[in-house]
Amino acid sequence: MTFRVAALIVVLTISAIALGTLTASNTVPSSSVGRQQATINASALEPQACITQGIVITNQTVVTNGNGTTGNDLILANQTGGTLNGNGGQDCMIGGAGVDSFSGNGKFAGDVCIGNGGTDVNSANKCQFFTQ
Amino acid sequence: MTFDIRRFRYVAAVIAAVCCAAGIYAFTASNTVPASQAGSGSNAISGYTVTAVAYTLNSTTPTNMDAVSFTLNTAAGTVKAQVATGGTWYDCTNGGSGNNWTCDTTVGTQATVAPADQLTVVATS
Repeated sequence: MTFRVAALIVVLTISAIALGTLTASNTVPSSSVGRQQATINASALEPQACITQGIVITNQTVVTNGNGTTGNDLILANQTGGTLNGNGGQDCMIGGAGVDSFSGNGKFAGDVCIGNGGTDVNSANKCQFFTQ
Repeated sequence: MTFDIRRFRYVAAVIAAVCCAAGIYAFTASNTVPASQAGSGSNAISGYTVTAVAYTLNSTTPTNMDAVSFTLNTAAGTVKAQVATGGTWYDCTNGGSGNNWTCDTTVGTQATVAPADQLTVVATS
């Protein structure tokens, strides 16, 4: 019995040594793979020109060519031009190539308008106007 | 002098065994086996962190989105971005250096603001 156990130990030891000798290791460099997601809302789309003027968008739904809410809105014109009305809040209104009419709370009430071309109308200084 | 038959048989068996072994060795042909490689290894696969995301709206038509740019925390080889769930994937470039990437969202299907709901960035090293 003792002899059989000893023989088994010897066989196992030899097998382990043999496997260790035959197992090769590969060199594998570290790598990176990733997928990241983030919500796109009005705050994310706010142009730098409005950020610089301190406007913090609170209505996260982008308004297209129309009336804003009582909060701080991002209002975008289309190519043909239109009327952008900020209503309340401090709004960021972005014009396009067409003739845009801006209507806000007033130049010093915090609204910012960016013309982007066209003969835009900022009557009575309804907003702080930038050409681009 | 006595003749030990048992010792004789033992010696004869040993001689026979040696002769058989030598014969087998002599008749054993050798094969040509090319060198080969096999092995196993492992290393870490890490993800990316996206920061400094910025969107460029078209100046003529502000409801169009012309580009999205961002910074990855480490080098990448291939980067693509999607700005609407289930929408077009746009290729991104970094000008050959740095971890700042820009994706032209005018290529193929022009991206627009209305359906843009989620930025998805995939990257591989």
